[in-house]
Amino acid sequence: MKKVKKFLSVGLCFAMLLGLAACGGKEEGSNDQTDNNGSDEQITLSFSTSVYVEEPHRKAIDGLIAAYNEQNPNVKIEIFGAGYDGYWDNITTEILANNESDMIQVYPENISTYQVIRPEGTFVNLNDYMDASLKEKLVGQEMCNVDDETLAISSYAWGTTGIYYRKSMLEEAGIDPSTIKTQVDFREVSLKFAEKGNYATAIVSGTHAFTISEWNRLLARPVSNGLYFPNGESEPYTADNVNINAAENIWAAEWWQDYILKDKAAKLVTDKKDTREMFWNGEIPFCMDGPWFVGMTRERDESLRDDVGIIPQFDVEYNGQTYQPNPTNYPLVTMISKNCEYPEEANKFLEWMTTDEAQAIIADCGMIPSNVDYSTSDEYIAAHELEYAIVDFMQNNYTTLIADPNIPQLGEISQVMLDAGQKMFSEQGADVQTEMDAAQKAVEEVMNRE
Amino acid sequence: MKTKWKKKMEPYLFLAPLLIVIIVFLLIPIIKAAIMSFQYYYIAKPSADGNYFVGLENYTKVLSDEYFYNSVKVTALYILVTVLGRYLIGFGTAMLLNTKFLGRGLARALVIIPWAIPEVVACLVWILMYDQDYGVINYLLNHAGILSRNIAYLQDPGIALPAAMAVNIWKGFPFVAVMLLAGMQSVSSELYEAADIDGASGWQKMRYITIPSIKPVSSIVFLLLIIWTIKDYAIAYVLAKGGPSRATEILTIYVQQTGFRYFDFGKAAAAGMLMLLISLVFTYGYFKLLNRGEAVH
Repeated sequence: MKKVKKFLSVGLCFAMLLGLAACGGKEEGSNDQTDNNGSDEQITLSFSTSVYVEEPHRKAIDGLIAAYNEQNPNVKIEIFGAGYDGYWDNITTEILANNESDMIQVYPENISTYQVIRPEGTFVNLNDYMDASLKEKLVGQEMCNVDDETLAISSYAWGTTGIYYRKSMLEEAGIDPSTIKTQVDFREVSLKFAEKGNYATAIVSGTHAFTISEWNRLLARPVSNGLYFPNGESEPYTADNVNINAAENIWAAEWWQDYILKDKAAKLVTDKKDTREMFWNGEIPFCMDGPWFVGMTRERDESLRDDVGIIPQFDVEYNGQTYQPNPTNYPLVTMISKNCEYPEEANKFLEWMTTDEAQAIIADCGMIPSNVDYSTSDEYIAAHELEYAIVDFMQNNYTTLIADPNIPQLGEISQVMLDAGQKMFSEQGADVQTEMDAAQKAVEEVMNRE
Repeated sequence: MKTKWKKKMEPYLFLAPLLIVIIVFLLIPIIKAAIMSFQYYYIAKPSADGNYFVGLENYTKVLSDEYFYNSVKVTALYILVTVLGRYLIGFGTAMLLNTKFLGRGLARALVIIPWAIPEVVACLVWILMYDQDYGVINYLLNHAGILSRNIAYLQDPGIALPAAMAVNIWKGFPFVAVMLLAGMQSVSSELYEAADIDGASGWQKMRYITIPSIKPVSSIVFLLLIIWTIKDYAIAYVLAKGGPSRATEILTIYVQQTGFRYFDFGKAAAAGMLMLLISLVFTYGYFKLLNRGEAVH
């Protein structure tokens, strides 16, 4: 019996050691980028994404993998991913631990952050794989370039925002949505609801990034051409070039604060889902959202479909000038890790995602497929009329896209703005100039840090 | 000779699995973090020199960061209120459960529920209850005439921290109740009988018999609550993610944000080490008490 116990304890120790070894990072040797060159060898590619937890995306991604598997039975694709909140911590930890997925899906502004974690760069330069003609067709592809390297492919989908409205509510209030052209018009219309003790819309205020991003997109960036850095959030990314307390941004913040607190035209909510619920329940006539909102509305209540219309984001009048709306197109782009054993196979899969066959599957996720050839095709327009309106806004109403700066400090500087936003755009109603000055100083400190 | 050596080694062999787990999952990460706290580890701006030694610079950065002091203040308040709250409610519950009444067994089982529910699940339920428009708390308070307008519990910086504290107290008081109940049950009934003969009131029995008798258990419970609350994370994070306006940013959230959001792992490690030091002070007290208890026995 004693011997059995001893044997068991020694065995347990070995088993634990083996288990721990298996938990460890990849061996240096696994960096060899050996491709299977189309052989029938069974290979496995891992794919991390933050959207798989959402039902429409899960359906689209499962569909993509099934279709690809049918054509490439030797390629197995495994999906990994937590919800949006935990996803970014997971990626950081995995890259630091050297065991990240072969393919990682992010937004373009996140690319630099993860690229610099390894001194030699974390991701494969796709210039070696991608054709120039393909790059031109993909929405947001130009945002995937860092230091002349193409670090991601925009092969999935994108979606900017428009303003959805409830036809019946506007009709009852005697409002013609086509007359809402500027922020002044939008305020006037909103006040009609506020005067009756109702809200025109709901605004996210809290720890969610929307606290800043909706205000930034609707008002700040159109007039200032850059919340963090001027000239379209462009270089140099230095402390003396920080633009936060520029007069245009201050004006935009004061306007937004007045709209919330003085006009009482918007209800403060903690999550976008509250805004959506209120819109669907007929408590507010306006909801700023992306193309995915069409599918969500349909799923929520098919009968609402005929009562929902969409207008583009409004122009902004400031100091006697009119500024076109600034879009954010949120393309989900994918990077290939340098640790990937089969980068060519990974790239093959990602490029296949841009084909008509794959883009038709992606269209079901509610976002707009990234290949312009497909998203402007008769087939797509016929099946997705309301979503296509957003493509049309991008082409005819909105100005050139300004995205968050693609710099590693983005996480910290956006937290600074979020702190300021929570104070300005909430019941606290903190003094805008004071908060924006403090945010300017804090971001300067971040950019100065060695 | 060989058998003797084998016999000598046997306990170590049995201890080995536990030791390996402690070394790999506790000791090595702590040593690694301690080393990081003296290194340049700002991965947003990697240095060509790698993670070079920076002396006490990371500690200086932490100690000159106003948000660190904010999180120390929030943590101290959070510990003070929740430890006292859990103790007082737990004590009251233990007193009740120590009296004889119909259904006492069921009550003892039910009181454990908040403690048994996973933190994240409990927080998600509380988020729904705290909802400004659809939450049951505002609904009840409005209908009882206590509130005239709905409160945004997790949006208002002045209320978010007390709201998180309430969840912590609700979640943690059953542990105190169970521990103190065990302590109360070990008090000899003869003492109470003697007090009854002497004409002692209920308050006097509690003041002069119950409280002194459960003092050793109370001390250990207090210290455990402090140590656990220092490293608390889930409740404040799931409820409000440290916000709004950093109102619920306790030290653990500060460390996590500094590392994983701002990518300054050196500074995060330094803040973590300072947290560890504070925690060690209370852990030392805990072991002192335990040893004293063993010596008495």
